[in-house]
Amino acid sequence: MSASLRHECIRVPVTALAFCDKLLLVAEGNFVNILHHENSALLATQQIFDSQAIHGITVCFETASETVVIFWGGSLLLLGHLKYTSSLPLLDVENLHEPRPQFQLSQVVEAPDWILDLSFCPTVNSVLGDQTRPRTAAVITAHNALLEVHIVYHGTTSQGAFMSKSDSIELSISELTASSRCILYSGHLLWLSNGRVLVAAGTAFGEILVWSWIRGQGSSSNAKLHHIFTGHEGSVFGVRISEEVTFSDRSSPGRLLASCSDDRSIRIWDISELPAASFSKSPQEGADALHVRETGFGANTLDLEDSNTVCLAIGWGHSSRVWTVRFLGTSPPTRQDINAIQLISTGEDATSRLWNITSQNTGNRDGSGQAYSFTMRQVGTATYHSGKNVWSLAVLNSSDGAKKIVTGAADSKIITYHLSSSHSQDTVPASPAHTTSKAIDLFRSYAFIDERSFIFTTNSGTLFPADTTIVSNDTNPNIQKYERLHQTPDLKGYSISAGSALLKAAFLAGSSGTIYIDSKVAGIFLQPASQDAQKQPMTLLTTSVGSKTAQLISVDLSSSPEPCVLQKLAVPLPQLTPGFIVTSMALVRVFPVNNYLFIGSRTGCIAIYTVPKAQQATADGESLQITLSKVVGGVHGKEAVTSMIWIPSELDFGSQIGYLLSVGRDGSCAVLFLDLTHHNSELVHRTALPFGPNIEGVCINQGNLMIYGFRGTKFVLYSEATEEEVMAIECGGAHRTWDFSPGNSHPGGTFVWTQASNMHVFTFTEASHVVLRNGGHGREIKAAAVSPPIPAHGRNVQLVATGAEDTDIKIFEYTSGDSASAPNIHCLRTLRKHTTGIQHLQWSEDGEYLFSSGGCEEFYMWRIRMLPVIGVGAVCETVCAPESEIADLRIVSFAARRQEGTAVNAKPGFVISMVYSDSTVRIYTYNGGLISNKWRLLATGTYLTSCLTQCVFLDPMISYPAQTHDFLTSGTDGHIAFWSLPKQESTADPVQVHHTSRTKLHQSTVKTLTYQHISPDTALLITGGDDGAVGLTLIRKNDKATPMLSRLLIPRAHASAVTASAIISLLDPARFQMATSGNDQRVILWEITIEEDAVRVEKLGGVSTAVADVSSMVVLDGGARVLVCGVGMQVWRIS
Amino acid sequence: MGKSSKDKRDAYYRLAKEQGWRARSAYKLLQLDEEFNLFEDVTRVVDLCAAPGSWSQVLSRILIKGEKFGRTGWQDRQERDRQYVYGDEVGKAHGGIHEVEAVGEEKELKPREGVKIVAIDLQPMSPLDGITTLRADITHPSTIPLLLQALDPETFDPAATSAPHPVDLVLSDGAPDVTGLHDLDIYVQSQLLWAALNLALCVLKPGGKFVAKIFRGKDVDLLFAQLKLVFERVRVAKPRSSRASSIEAFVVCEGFRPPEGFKASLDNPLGAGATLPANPDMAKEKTKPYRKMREDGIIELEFGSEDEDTQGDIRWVAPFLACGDLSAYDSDASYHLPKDRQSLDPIQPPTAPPYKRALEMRKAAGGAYGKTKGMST
Repeated sequence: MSASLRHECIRVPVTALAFCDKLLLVAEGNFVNILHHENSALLATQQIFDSQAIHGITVCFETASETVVIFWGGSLLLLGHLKYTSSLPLLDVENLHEPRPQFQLSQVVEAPDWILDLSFCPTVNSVLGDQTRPRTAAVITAHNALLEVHIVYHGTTSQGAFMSKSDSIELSISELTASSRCILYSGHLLWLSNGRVLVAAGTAFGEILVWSWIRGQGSSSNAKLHHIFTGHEGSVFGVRISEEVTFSDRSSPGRLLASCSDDRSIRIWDISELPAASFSKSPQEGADALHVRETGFGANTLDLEDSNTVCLAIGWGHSSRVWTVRFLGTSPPTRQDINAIQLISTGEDATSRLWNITSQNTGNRDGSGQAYSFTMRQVGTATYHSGKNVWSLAVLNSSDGAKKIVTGAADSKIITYHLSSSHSQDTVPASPAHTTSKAIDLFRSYAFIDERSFIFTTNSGTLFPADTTIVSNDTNPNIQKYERLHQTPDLKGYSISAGSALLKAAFLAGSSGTIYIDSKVAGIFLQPASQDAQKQPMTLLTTSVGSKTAQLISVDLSSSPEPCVLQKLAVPLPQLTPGFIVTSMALVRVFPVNNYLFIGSRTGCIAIYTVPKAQQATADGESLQITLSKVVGGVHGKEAVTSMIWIPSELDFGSQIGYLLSVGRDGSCAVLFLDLTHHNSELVHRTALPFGPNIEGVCINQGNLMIYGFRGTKFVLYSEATEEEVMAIECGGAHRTWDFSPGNSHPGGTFVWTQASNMHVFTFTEASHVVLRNGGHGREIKAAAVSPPIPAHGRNVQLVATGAEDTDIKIFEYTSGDSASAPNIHCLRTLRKHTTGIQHLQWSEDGEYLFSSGGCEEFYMWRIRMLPVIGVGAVCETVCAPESEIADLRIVSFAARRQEGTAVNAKPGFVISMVYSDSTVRIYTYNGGLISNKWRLLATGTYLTSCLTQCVFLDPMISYPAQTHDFLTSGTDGHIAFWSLPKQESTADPVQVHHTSRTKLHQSTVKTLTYQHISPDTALLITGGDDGAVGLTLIRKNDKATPMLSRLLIPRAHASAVTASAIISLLDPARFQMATSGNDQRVILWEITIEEDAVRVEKLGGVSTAVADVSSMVVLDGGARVLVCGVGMQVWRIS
Repeated sequence: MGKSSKDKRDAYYRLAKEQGWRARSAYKLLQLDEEFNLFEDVTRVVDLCAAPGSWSQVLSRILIKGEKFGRTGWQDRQERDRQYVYGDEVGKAHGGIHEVEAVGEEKELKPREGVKIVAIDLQPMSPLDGITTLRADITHPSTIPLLLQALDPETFDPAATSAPHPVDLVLSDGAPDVTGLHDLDIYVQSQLLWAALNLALCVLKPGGKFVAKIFRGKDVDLLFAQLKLVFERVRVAKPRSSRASSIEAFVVCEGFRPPEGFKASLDNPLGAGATLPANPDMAKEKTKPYRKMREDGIIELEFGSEDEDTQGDIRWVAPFLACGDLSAYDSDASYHLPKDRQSLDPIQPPTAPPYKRALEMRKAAGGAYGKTKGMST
């Protein structure tokens, strides 16, 4: 019997990126993904090293038919050769029958030390032909040694003669200089010529060494130290030597060095001159700096000429450590900077930032009065990753001078965006149409009448049309160019408008109300346009100041010569809801009986009205009466409901059953399930959005749900489907006049707003960035749980809930892929409510509820549903209120299970046992069907003083009178303890419970615990400890204080803490497979056989995982796959 | 996080302030000593990566001042600590308060003779009586002669590669600036350990001990296997004062056995490597498979270390020992503090972080480095 784990899918931090023609090579752990960077298609994934993560990819050469690259990571390197088939490199993605690109790999070569950078020697013409293929590369190691890598091509006398054998390329390594033992955090190499390498190296104590190596005659060579730069106040995490640059104030070209550090600064140094320092007595000392001196911060470095004066500029901007810097060349001239040198940096704050470096004659002083001869300005910030740490960066220079940036981060997401030539990434899209004009008088309102045309009114009561497609070329527009459409005193001083791009119409109202109604109009709300809207009359709702009714007006736009009002109906506003002020409306036309009107209020509630059809009313001979059916309160807390969309139930299209999706100024998106005939409603989804709280609109654009609103001073368009920001526009904030029109054929739109009395228009046809590959959590996953299969639109899905240190819970679906698609771990929903790192997650047995716990006693219960269009619907149904006086008390773990026979109003009851970091235990019951006192504290207990880490119920169902041993806990003391619940459900105060017995299993913390029932009175407990041991304990129930236990321990099961365990499959009741994993990044598969009271264990094998800090493991597809979570995720198939 | 909220989170942080330690890490060394009796017959010690100096403080108080912190000292202290941390109420629940007699640290002071302690760190460290402190990078070769000179200032020979009077114990509590890129962090930590071992090979006497912080992460078994080549006994220990959530642990190597003819070398030290020079004397450690019933009734199942090697890498998993009494408090636990408790100032203010200036810049620029206004259009 054998079983093995075969890798299927991985999502771990992206540690290296390289462009290679149309391909993008993405290093993720020990795997490389080959992506098409223009259409985002994942063409192939290939394992490069056994377990070492890839830290760098350097392209050796690329031609139309082949590419050779070196992959390196740790101290390992190997050469990969990719040969394109006939259709490549066009890479016809549609044709999936094409063979996937696959690297032929050389043998792995091990360098004597960790590699920091690798660079190919520029090629020289050789007599043997084959000029294009570099044969040597230089490597800088973490101890400042320079190595040479030799590439031997076998059988390369003719083009394309690379053998299909893997040994057609070989690598070998030789030392150019010895290592200096001074540990470096960063290094960069540049070949100045075939015989000279310039090295920049950043140390752990803020120093930067610049030295070069010169090939001598025969075997002799020489290393020279040129500069020691000091000034950084922390480790130097990145260094980069520029190509030759031209300074505006110097005649000869020079060279810059950029460095970034723990101190959050980026510094620019002048290395135009490479003086040979006089102390270079020997080649070794050349690389080492002075041999005997005190090292460390602030050590005596003044024995060298260099000092802070050669630091040309300092850039401050990152809010935490800066990892990488990269020169981009000279930027095109802008208003502020002429001939600026551009630099991009990435950091721990998950941003990449763009900088302009310009030389200047007037010394620029920073806060400390330090004078610098260059200026460094931050001109753009890209915040497209979540969590922490952008680890990798690549730049593609296209022939037209444009630059494409790609970044990879700890969230395993891969992002690409274009650097615009003259604007910052912050506010201007790749194809901008951004105009400003000064008004003679004030702008009053905007209303789009077409995708890119709008009308605007001014304070003088003038109406103007504006077409953004025409004005976009004008660099200095002003209002005179707009043709006055109309001027009326009615619009003077006060005007509001509403427009529909789809219907090409706008409605206006002024203070005297003569446009449509006869008092000051407070609001006009249009029925959100739908595809069939053009066939229907236009409906609008108007409200007037102080009136208790609103007007529902139908307008026939197709009638000629001008639109005519078909119908005017009074809508009585809810009188029982105080402060009901209309903030949004939606009308549903339901065939054949009634229409329904939804009105959103400033107080967060939604009123539902029945609107009888005109023909029906005529037949009855009565006047039409709109009746209030129901008011659903608190949909958006106490904040305004700003926009609504009706989504009919897919089963019953056009019927009275469906979903009302709304957004509001509480920063959330909510979905009400409505049965309009029976006036039933249920909140089925409400999650906080990652921007807001001013969420202003929702629309469906090309089948995708788009939401827009404000975040700080920016207007944000957001795709709910991908949970990705499409565009953020700096506009000054939410409190202004504005309108937005989504694009018809693209994901963008046009935004018009007033800022500082100016009208601004911003049109974008594409998103600010493209997600080449989706990612996951931005911090390490601390807990994971998988649901049973849940029915969703005719299929079953298994949802994987993960909770991370970033305080988010994400719901993932794993798809194993087929011939047309690669395996994918796709995030369906992010739940944001916790304010601390997640400690534990559990699903209810039926997959309807998800329980989550965190620090600060946060405990939430979520109702999870699969909904049409919206996808995963999630509502936080209840919060267990904190009770302790310890502010940061953690609910480290808990166990929840359904209480039989307690369901009220179809809401199940649960018993939840929670364990805390102060060694206490609390047992609650929750019954959601009750009107009040849903939560009841049943019992409390204190273990000892050590932190408890795990908790499980021993029996499938709690029944009274209880068994002697109801649940067990484990803690940092390595023991398990058995507890019993109170014998009767007391109605009074909570009772004190005590553990009935405790038994030692591990030497220290029990980090993982898996409980498996194997027979009516026997269970098996799998534990993993900080001691690296795996424990297997058979528990036999009896009525004594201590259950019968038989304990088996595998002390050296893992090389470090065992942090995850799972039962894979039950082969028969007494035989099954389990998997364990831990901080040693190994996943081990075991087979367990239970014989009488003895447990037999067989080790079936193990694999390495690229997931660090493994915290949890779940089994998918009934034991066919295992998913490991930690810093990222990895899926294996069990075969 | 203010000092008082940190107080709640960590019992050892509170206790360190109460008992005059510069850092809570003092308890890690005390708990290691409790388990391994590290200071038995020890007079000459090198403390690497010592700042802010809590381990040197432990050395000073035990070796120079002659205070007792060993197994005998510990138990009494334990009871007083318990009363301090849990407050009276919990103290009662644990068997009531009985007057703990002062151990008489003053009465029984037994300073050892010939004590020599050298402490080294990259960061400056406040001086401690009787301890030679050096500011140096332990990965730098220039540190070896500095250390030799400090150990024997009178007889220092710049040409020597080993100490004329070897030391009994080399300690290293060094940790890198953790980046979050796990394999890089583990590598840098292993290089600190190698640098410490390299210094140890130069100054440690045969039979001497070496204790160093180690990250129990990926490939830690490679390090264990190497250490086992030059020490008779290698174990890995996790003091209870070290948080369970951290991958930090301590490798305790006893019985230094320099291989026959081994000479520490300045020109070719271990610093840049991860393997010791091959030597036939250095037998590879093997653990044999067994299945046995322990005294406490647990069946222990050992699969043997034969299959631990992978592709020519020598791997070995060192035995694990948790240390610190189980009744010692738990660095992961939250404690209820008496309401009237005063929060103390740390003994030594923390070293200024490298980003101190970045924070000042941000503050001066009104919160966002002054980048927002008029910069982009």
